Amino acid sequence: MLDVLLLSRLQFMFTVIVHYFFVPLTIGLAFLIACMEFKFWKTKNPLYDKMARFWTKLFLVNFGVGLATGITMEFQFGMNWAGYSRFVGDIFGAPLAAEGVFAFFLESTFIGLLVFGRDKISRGMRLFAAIMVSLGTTLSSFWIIAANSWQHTPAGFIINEEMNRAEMVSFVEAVFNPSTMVRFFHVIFGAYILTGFFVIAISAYYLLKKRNIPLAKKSMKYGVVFGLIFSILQAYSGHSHSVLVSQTQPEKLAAYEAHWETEENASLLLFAIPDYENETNKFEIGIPGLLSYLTYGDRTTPVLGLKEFPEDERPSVLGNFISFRVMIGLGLVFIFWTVYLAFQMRRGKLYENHFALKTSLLLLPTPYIANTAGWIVAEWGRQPWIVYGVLRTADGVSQLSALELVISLVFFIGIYSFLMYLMVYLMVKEVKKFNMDTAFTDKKTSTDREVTA
Amino acid sequence: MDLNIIWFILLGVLIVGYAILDGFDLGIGTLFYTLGKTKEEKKTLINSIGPVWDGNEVWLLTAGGALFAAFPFVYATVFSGFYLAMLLVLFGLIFRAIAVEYYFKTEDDPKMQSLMGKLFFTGSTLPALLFGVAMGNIVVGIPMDSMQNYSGNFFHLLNPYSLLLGIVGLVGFLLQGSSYTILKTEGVIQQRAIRLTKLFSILIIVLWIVGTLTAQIYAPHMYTNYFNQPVLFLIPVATVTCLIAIPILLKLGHYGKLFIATSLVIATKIATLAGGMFPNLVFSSNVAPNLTIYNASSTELTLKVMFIIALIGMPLVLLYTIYVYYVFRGKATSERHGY
Repeated sequence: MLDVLLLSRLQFMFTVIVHYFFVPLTIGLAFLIACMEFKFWKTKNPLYDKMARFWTKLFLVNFGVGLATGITMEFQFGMNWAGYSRFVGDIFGAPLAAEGVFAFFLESTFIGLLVFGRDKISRGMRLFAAIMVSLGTTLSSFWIIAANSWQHTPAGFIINEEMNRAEMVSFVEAVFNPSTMVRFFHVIFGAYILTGFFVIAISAYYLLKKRNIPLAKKSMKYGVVFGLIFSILQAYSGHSHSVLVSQTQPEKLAAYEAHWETEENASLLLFAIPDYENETNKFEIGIPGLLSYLTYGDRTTPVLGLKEFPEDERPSVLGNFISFRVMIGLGLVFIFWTVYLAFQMRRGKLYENHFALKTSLLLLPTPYIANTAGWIVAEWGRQPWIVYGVLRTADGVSQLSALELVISLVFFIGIYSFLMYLMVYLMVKEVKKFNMDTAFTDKKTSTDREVTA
Repeated sequence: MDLNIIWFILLGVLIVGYAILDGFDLGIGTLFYTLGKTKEEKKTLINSIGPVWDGNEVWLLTAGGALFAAFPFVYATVFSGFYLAMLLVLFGLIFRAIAVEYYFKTEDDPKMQSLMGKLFFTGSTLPALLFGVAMGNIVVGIPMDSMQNYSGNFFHLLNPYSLLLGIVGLVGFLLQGSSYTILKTEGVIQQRAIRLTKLFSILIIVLWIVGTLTAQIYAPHMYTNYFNQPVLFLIPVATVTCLIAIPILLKLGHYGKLFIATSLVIATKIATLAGGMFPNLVFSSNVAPNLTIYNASSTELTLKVMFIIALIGMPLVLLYTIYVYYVFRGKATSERHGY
């Protein structure tokens, strides 16, 4: 007999991971495009115009699927998590509605204007539209992260036993709950890093192929600067996030670290095989004291271990331990690699350095993996709670039949695989066929001709 | 007027906004092959909605969010209860989003582009039909258990009255699609759309009469409010007036006004249902109590916060939506845009 709870979780995990495959690039690229539009508005240099429009092309391919898979997320709360929706609707629904009103309308309306209205509006208006799209995607992530953070560090509510639900007492406390801002920046930085690496990889591809060189060089600069700044900021953001988790969800941090015993001078493990039965690790390699030091700034403060928590309130250890290391490991790779690229660029050698360019292309999947790993630890580490300490995931699930879930899961896997294929296929096609000398020279670009003339 | 009533109205406004705006997108999708015979015509149709369909669909997302926030118990019961039907709506919306976004991008691959056309048709028709079916079930009443969970199955949803409402909804969207096409195109497509608009307006009158009569059998409770407050009868009278105006406006060639008339048909049809339902949101067909704007709502504080959000946000949304429609006024062509 298939378990409805497990299937529901699998389905949510699958749909949200696929959705988030598209989201970060939308967030980051919207910002980068707004920067390019700004440069074009200010300098009237047609190169910036081409850049903005080239990256908008790719943005659009990505945006279509992001939007399509995003609708699924909103529907699923009601469809698959009816118990959860009833319990938290008083708090969780408001940020979702605010996201619609303040963010979705903005990005969806102005993306239409930016793409289809180019020859109908002024350059200034085009810049404004690009800024609104970027603002929309950023606000959208804020509201979603606020809602999601409430699941991790719920605040501003009381429990109404009679109605069996959480009721809001302070909107501001609920939205700006203890983890909202920290997680918001962590997510945004993650999205910016991914975008930086995306822009770097595609620029590198053109440089290797010796095509669209001026556009590739200038875009590469944007990508490297972007990637460098946010990889470094992310290290700080990630660290403060971990410290926060150690205070607000200590068992989660313990699971990340496969840390069983509460002890002083706790080690940071590089490698471990957890032994659930004996509540210890079969094998581990670690750096003594580092976990204590990273968490509290000194080595003597004890770090809570998993054994402090009842067995049925512990998150899975192995999966979180591995995902956490994947995320941090890749984070270090990002810093290292963008520093390297920045040095090469400063010395004027980057554009001919085949090793750097090829490796950059190969690194394209890594920020996607890091972002996904980050979400896996965030949400898997929250289990068995759907709202930390308040509502168990098992109590949030809809009363559906296993058959219904099997049907929906099979269809989701089928349709989403098609979406992924389509997106990658179109992305590759757009990149391959793009030629900056012939693109965007149709008769409708009167504004641009004015400028080049 | 309390906040619960305000949210009943606001939710209605969001649903009407969605039905009017995405209504023509969906309608055009279902009429894709009927209106667009040649490649050029098909491209023109896609271009007529290209710049605005994204924003239109956000009305649905926002209505969903508002339902979740204002009446979470309805959101939970309906979305989980109609699971497989909602799934079909979802797949439809996914297909349509992909089809519209990628139609021009797959131009050099005829097979892929023809697939996009099929997805556009299917993805528009499924939701257009199912929204009405869902509405019909809420109106007729659904069986619920003590935890407010829907206790019927998928096939219970396919009862005669709900199917009828599904068709009424679909034809309403088709009417909206054809009248928008008249506004946005010229020549052959426009002529086809004019003929279809006449056909759909007659069809709606017939369906409307059938629907009203069958409601007496399947959902007699929908009449209670109307007999208590006869002033409510003005709403269906408005629907009929608009329907009568359609052939006249067509003859006069007042296509802008025609689009307003078809939009009002949709708006007043939804208002007619809302007038019969108030203050209920979901009727129960067994001993379980109905879900109403009072027993299914969020707390007063949440409703108040949400009301403030709507007061700040919605005027802005309307402002820039109108601006964008203004920029894209005039006829659509088959030309591919610069991106």
